[in-house]
Amino acid sequence: MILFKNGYCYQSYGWNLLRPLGKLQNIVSHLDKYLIDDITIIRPIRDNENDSTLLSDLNEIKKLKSSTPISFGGGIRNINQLHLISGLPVERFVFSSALFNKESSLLRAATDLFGRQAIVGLIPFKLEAQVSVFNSQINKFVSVDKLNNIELCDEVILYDCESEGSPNGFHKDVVNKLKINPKNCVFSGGVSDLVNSFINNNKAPKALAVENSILHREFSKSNYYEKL
Amino acid sequence: MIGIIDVGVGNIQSVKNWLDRCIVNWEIIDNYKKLKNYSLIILPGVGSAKLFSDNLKKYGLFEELKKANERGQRILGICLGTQIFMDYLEEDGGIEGLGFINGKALKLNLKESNTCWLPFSFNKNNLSKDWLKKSETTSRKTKLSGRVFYNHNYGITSIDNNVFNQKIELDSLSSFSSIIHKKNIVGFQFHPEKSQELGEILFKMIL
Repeated sequence: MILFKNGYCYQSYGWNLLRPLGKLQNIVSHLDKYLIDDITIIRPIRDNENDSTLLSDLNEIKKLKSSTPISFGGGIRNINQLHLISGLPVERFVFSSALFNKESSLLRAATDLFGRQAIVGLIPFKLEAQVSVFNSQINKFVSVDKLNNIELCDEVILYDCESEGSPNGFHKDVVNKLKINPKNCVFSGGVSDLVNSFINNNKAPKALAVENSILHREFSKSNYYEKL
Repeated sequence: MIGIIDVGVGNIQSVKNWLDRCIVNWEIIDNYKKLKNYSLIILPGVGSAKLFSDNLKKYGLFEELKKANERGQRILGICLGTQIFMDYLEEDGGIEGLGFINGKALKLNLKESNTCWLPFSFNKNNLSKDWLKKSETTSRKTKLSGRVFYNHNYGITSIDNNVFNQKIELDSLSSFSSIIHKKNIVGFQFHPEKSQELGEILFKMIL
C-alpha cells in the first residue's frame, strides 16, 4: 500500500506524520521487481480539496507504467469525479468515506461504470472499546457498530491505524465487531509478521497488504510465498 | 500495425503500456471504418457489460467488428472484451454479444468476484499458426507456465466444438474458460497486461 499526494509518495507514522518517499513511478517500479500481487495507491485526503490537486495527482497516475494490478482511491467524493478516474491504468477503485455515509449513489454509480469487481472499500480503524473509523470527509475518527454500503464492495481493506508500521499489531477482532467475513477482507497495518498465524486458519483474510511504513524494510518476497 | 479499440470505458492505458513493453507499434483506432487496416485488433474490456456494449453500438463498432470477423482479421479480447465475443452475456439483465463464439458469459458461482492470481499453463501449439510469430513456430519450446491475474464477476462457457477452450485452473471455476480461441479470434479472461512476466511472454509469442 502506497500513500500518494501532491505528486509524492509518503511514509505514514501513526496516521499523522508523513515522510516523503519519492516519486510514484520509482516506487511502483521498485515494487514491480518484487512481483508482488497488487499495489494499492491511496491519496490521504483528510478534508475537502479542490479539483486541481486531484487532477494533478490523476495525471501522475495516468502516466504510471506497471505490470502489476493496481487499486487506487482517495478523494473521490462525487459522481462527476468518477469520470476523471475512468481510463486510468488501474484495475480497481478504493472508496472509504462513501462507506460511512448513508448515501449509496456514489458507490452504485461506480459499480455501473467500472463493474462490481472493481469496487474496493477501505476502512481505516482504531479498535478501542468500540470500533472507530476514520471518515476522511470530516477528518476525524467516529465510532461505528455497522457500516453502510459495505455490501456494494467486492473486497474490503481493514487498515489498523494504530498498528501501522508495527510487525504484528493488527487487531483481528475488528472483523467480529464489524460483523464482516474475513474471507472478503484484506488486512493491513501491523501484519507483516502475521503470515504464519493465518496458515490453515479458517479466519484468515483474503490477503495481507504490507503498508508503506514497512516497505523500506527489505522483505524477501520468497519468504512470503513460501509461507502462503 | 496493432489497433486498440477505445470506447471510453475500461483500462486502455495498461494495454498501451503492455504493448510498449513488448516494443510493438500500435495506435488507438479512431476511425472505425479503417478497422481493416490493422493486422491485429485488441478489444480490452473493464467495466460494466451494458455500458461497454452500448458504447460499442454507439460508435458503430458492433457491426464493424462483425465485418472484421467475417474478413478473418485477428481480434484479441481481454476480460469483458472476450465475454462480448459470446452470443449472450448474463450481466446487467442480459446483453446480446457479437456471436463470434457459440457460448455465454455467465455469473460465476462465487459469492464475490474472482480477483486473484491463479496458476496458468499453456501449450502454444493450441493456437493456430497465424497467431504465432514465425520464430515461435520453429522453436521447440511449446509450454508456458506461471500465474495470471483475474478480475471478473462473470465467466465464459462455450459449447462450440470448433473452439480451443482452456479452463480456469481452480476447481470451483473449472467450468469457465481462461483462454478461448477459434480461427482468427483469441480471448483471454485474465488480464495479460497485468500478469507481469507471463503476460509479456504470452504477448511476445503472438505479436
